[in-house]
Amino acid sequence: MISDITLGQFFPGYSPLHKLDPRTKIILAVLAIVTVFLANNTASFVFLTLITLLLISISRISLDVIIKGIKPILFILIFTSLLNIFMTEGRGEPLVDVWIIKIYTEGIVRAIFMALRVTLLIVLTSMLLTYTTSPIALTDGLESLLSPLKRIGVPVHTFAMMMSIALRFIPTLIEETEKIMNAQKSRGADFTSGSLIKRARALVPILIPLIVSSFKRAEELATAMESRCYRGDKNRTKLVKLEYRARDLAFMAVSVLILTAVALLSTLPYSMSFSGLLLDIIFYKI
Amino acid sequence: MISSYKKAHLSQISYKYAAVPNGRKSKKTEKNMDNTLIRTENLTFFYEGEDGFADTAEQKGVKNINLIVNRGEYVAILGHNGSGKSTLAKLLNMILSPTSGKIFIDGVDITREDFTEDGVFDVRRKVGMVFQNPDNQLVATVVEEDVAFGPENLGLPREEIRRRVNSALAKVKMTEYARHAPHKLSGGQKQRVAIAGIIAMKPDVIIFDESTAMLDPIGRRDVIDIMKELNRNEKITVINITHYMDEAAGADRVVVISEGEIVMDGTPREVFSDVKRLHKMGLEAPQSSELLTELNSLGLGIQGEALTCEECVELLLTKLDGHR
Amino acid sequence: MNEILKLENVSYIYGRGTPFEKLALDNVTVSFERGKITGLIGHTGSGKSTLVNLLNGLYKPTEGRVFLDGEDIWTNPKEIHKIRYRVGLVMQYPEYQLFDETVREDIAFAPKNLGLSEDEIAERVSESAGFVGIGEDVLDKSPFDLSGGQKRRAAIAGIIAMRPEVLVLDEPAAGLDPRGRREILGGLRLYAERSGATVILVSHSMEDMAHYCDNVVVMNSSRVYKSGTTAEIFSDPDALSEVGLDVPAVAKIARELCRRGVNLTGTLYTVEGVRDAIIAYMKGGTA
Repeated sequence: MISDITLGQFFPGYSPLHKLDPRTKIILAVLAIVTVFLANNTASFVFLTLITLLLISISRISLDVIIKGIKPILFILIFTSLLNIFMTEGRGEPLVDVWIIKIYTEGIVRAIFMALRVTLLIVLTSMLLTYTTSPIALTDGLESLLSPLKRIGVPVHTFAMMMSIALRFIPTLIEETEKIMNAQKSRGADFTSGSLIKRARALVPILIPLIVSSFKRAEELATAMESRCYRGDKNRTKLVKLEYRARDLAFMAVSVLILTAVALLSTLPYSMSFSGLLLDIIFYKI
Repeated sequence: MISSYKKAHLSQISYKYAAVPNGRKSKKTEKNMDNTLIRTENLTFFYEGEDGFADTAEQKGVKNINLIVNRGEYVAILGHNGSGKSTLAKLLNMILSPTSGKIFIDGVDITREDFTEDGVFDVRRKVGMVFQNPDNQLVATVVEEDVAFGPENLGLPREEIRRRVNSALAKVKMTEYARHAPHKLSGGQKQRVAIAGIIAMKPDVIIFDESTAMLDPIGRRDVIDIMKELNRNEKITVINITHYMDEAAGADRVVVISEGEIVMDGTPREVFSDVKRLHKMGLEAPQSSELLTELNSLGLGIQGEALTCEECVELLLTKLDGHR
Repeated sequence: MNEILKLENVSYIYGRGTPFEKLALDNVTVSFERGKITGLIGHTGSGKSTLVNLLNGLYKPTEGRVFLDGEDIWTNPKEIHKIRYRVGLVMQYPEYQLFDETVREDIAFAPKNLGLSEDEIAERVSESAGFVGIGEDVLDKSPFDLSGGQKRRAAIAGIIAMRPEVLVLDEPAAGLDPRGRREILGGLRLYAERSGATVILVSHSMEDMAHYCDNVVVMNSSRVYKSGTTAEIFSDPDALSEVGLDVPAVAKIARELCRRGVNLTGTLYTVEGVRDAIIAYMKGGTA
């Protein structure tokens, strides 16, 4: 079912990660992305994976959810891994040499690193942002971080509001799509067979009702918001005030340390590095 | 008897005209001393803009509505689909502006031309609205953040918002769901969150615009119970727009709208005694009233009205006693 | 009983193997009588919506079998869409399925999917529009210009146009005012009588059940709690209130009268029925 996708969903909770200021988490996410791209050998990747596992346990989000979150990108992971395995040319003798297929140690290592890199990126950013931060907090955080742009006339509040409403309605629209699909299936609609053009045309009976109802929703929502005294950010206050606390500073400091550690680890010369040793053990000494 | 009720209202209106001094036109908002919260004068609205839009099949205008709602009242507005009852609600909340006629909220003429944006803001704070589709009125992805939306718009201090959110959630019995995502709640629960969002703005009156139409019986009962509690305990004026006659039967007063006009206005007992008239307007009465009317049309001549089963049984027993 | 649809030991589990796993139907065996209107009642979460989706093969039973006219509908899973033509399902708030330019085209959607000839399609469209009371003038309008009640009826016509042997409707009158309810439900009654089709009606309204249904199935916590003729079901209000369901107000009145010594007999769960019973009682009493 479409609604089984957990990527991008928010899981309310009270973990230390949940309690971090959303701005901290946005900054942490940026740091995490940099850190993941810095990692380039076994030592740094092992270290980062451990950190990620630690973060997952801090967040108290079940591994099931995390794994489900990766599922939608599984295909891309496998595809890029295969590309790396088959396309990489190494220095030494190929491990496998059948017909035109040559597999080098470097290819396998590269595939593993690549897959790890993408997985860590997805897990870390969704951990820090969507899973543990309510979309409203996230948009509040973005709004606050971007607020300097207000001075040059960028309607930051409006964009933030639009984003949070979009996030609010994603599950509703997914549900609605399923309902409409079932209704049209009950009228004999077929979405799975026939040529590409036929299948594209089969989407019309789903898309039109979806668009019509979305417009109706938008109109009703606008009315409801207006009747609740909404008038942009004029004189608007917030229930949740964004405040950096000790916790935020601690997390920032730790993540800068992690970044530094990964940077250091990744500069270890290849042959001297943990990864070099490991590779020797696995591939050459057997 | 219904006409006598109307007359009482008319006399009330003329009385008020006499009582209000000529300073009505002054820009200062005059505080009215009596109990009237909402008053409309020949309120008329057509869905007809310059670009030639007319009434659509689902949106109907209203004409010559003279309605008075007193502070603390629990009024049901009953009408068939497309009777204009929702249009009336939107006029009172300033989502629509009347074609002609006047509306006074808390003594303030909200239809006068120099009415300011801040005035509109004030009206919307005083007149809260809960709509039909629970999905289309929740803005936030966490229950308590949604409840906070109104108070945030009012620009209240953070601590005050927190207090109001907590107390509003408690009043609709949704405290334990404060951190939940609204899309995972049942229809009835969503609607209770929507109500909390309005309560948190501390309105004088809450208009429920068919707020129970999309709910299952349990969700409906919960919402009705909350309406009654708010009216009784919080002294909030409640206007329930509905086409369920059992909901109307529990109100202090029932106003029936048909084809955009008020056609009946009285206590539930008065309104539901005229079953035939309700039928003509595509409405029904509670089954106890329906049964008595059926029997009377066969010449049984049972005197009195019955809104509840118990009353109906008692009335029938007095009639049937002779036959036992 | 001459049954057309039958569920045999059917269980259904949502999200099997996930943390959200939920047993929605628990070993349910129930059958629906041919040519009759059967009401399906129960609270939200009682399993009735799941049951509805099992009847036309939108869901596949986790365990057990569903029989249509004696045949297991899942014998050949690839042909399940054919079952959907034979068991027409009208979902809750079906007006959201409307999409085509005109009401006529929209009603023709299912017959077109069936691969019927132009003439046959035209015939079915006007026939099903007739059943739900949609006039020729409305057929050429855009479905989005209709009133709420008309949209609902157009959507129902879109299913009737498949000429299903069984028509299942999930709360067809939800959100409509009393007149709208009468038009829809009365129309269905007429449709059932004229076409001979079996109708299964999900509703929360006991009054509607009492008024329009021949048989009633009561669902409670994933199981069939009770089933029988409408008279049987409503003659035992205590059993219904046990699972949080109510009986129509007139049924309560009739029951209280009986308890107080007024022995009424007849259809004691509709306004007309109780009226006639009281009149008969008075005549009997004076005679």
